Amino acid sequence: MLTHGQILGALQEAFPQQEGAQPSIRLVGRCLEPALALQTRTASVFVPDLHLLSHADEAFYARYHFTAGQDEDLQKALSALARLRDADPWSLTVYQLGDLFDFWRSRGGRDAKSEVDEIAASHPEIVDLLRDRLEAHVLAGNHDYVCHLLSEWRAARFFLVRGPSGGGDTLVLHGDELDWAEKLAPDAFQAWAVQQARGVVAPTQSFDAVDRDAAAAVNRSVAAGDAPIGPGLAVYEDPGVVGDVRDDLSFLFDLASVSIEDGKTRFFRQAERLATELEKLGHDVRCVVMGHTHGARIVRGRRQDGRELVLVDCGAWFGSSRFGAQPKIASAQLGVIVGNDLRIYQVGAREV
Amino acid sequence: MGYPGFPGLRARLGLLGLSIAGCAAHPISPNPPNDVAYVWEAKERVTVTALDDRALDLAVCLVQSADGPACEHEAQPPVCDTRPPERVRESLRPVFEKLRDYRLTSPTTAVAELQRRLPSDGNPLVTTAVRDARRQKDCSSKTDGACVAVRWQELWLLLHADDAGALTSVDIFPNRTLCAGDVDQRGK
Repeated sequence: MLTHGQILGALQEAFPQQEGAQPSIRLVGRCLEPALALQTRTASVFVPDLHLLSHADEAFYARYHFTAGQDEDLQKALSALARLRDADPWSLTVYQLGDLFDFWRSRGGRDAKSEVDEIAASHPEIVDLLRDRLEAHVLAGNHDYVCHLLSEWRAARFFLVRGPSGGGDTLVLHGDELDWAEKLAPDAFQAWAVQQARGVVAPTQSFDAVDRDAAAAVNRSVAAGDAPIGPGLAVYEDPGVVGDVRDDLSFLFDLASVSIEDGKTRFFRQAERLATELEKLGHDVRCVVMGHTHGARIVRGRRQDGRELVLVDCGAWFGSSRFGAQPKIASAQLGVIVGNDLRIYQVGAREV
Repeated sequence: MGYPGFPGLRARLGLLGLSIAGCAAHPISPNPPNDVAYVWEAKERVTVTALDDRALDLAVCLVQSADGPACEHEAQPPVCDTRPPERVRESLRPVFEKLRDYRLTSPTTAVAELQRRLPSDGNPLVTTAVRDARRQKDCSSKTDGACVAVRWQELWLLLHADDAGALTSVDIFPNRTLCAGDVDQRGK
């Protein structure tokens, strides 16, 4: 299994520090919790929302697609990970957390397959790196739910990574499911948790229909026009500077996770309820990894049974972010989990 | 799989099509009458030489993860079918036990033989109508070696035999989309 130091080193090599610029790699969040007892077979990297558009639609949504260079930076980061993985493909598992494409904002009224193909054709390097070089496990989000239904994508709606015997499982999902649940009344919320957990344990066509309707409802709940994906959603008050740190020994403390008492705990309650329902069905989920919100953070808390639960919201590689009062930079976040050391990095410091 | 309008991948798929003979990464598609034919990615397959316990473990892993290479590497890939593995194993066990010592002496009688041999509660289907890119003719012809496909629960087992009828290899792959949405909803 790769170490954090190896992954961080590869990213730092791909994004060398520029003189006078903001740090090239920054730690956005970190949680080191041995009680999670997660799997130690492989390191995991999570690529959050990209919202790729076709070149034609990028021109139309000029303010919201990749900012200049964000595409190129992503290729650099993915290439660095691919080189790292080449030596041993089983040492690193890559997930794309959904909303790889923004099918929802595609214009033209063509069939879903044509729309997705055109977006993919506009970003062949990224798609090739994810699918072929990194063999990424691709999830379908609410903006590209169609990838769950297209045979050439077969994108899943969730993955469960089993932990060791007596250890914790990791549930990986896009996160729009939790968004939907947030809008429900208490009794409906409980019913949602039960239904969702059953769907995870035994996906069926009827679950797919419910899931699809919920994703559509989340999309409808967003204001019309360009509002859904705005800039500056992630603002990090704690710089969490990594600097030139290169090895794991430098991270002895939990530097930047958000405790449950803080204000940035959105969706933790939903994740906790889902984990509790899954426990009744035989799964010990102690970590939930998601994207969707575009706001990177790690939230720690406990399940109803008192067991540790951590929500890792991996942010976005899209839009912009700001560390404190520093100038805005292009959002370029990656989640990285090695054993029980959970981190989110901001990669690159391209000011926008 | 296909990417109309995606020149890079399409070009490479073209090359794959030309170099498919003798290549491990080829599509196989049992195509019995009145059933739906799919072309499966090579990733969604494991190949074994005997239907032993290890083969059964691989089949369980494949059903739950749709990631054949990771299963063969014993990498415990992430799953999207989270039933207890023991439950899946028990549901698949009968077909492995019933086919373990099977001798495929004649494709023409194999269908009837296997239909009799397999319990009906696993929704078995036996066919020699198989589209396999490695073969010039389907399994009803022994030209490229005898073969027969058996559907059981979520799996197809494509049995290959030598001239004497002994099983030489078995390709195991799913008979429905795994992890993805229901195929009837594709593209809607």
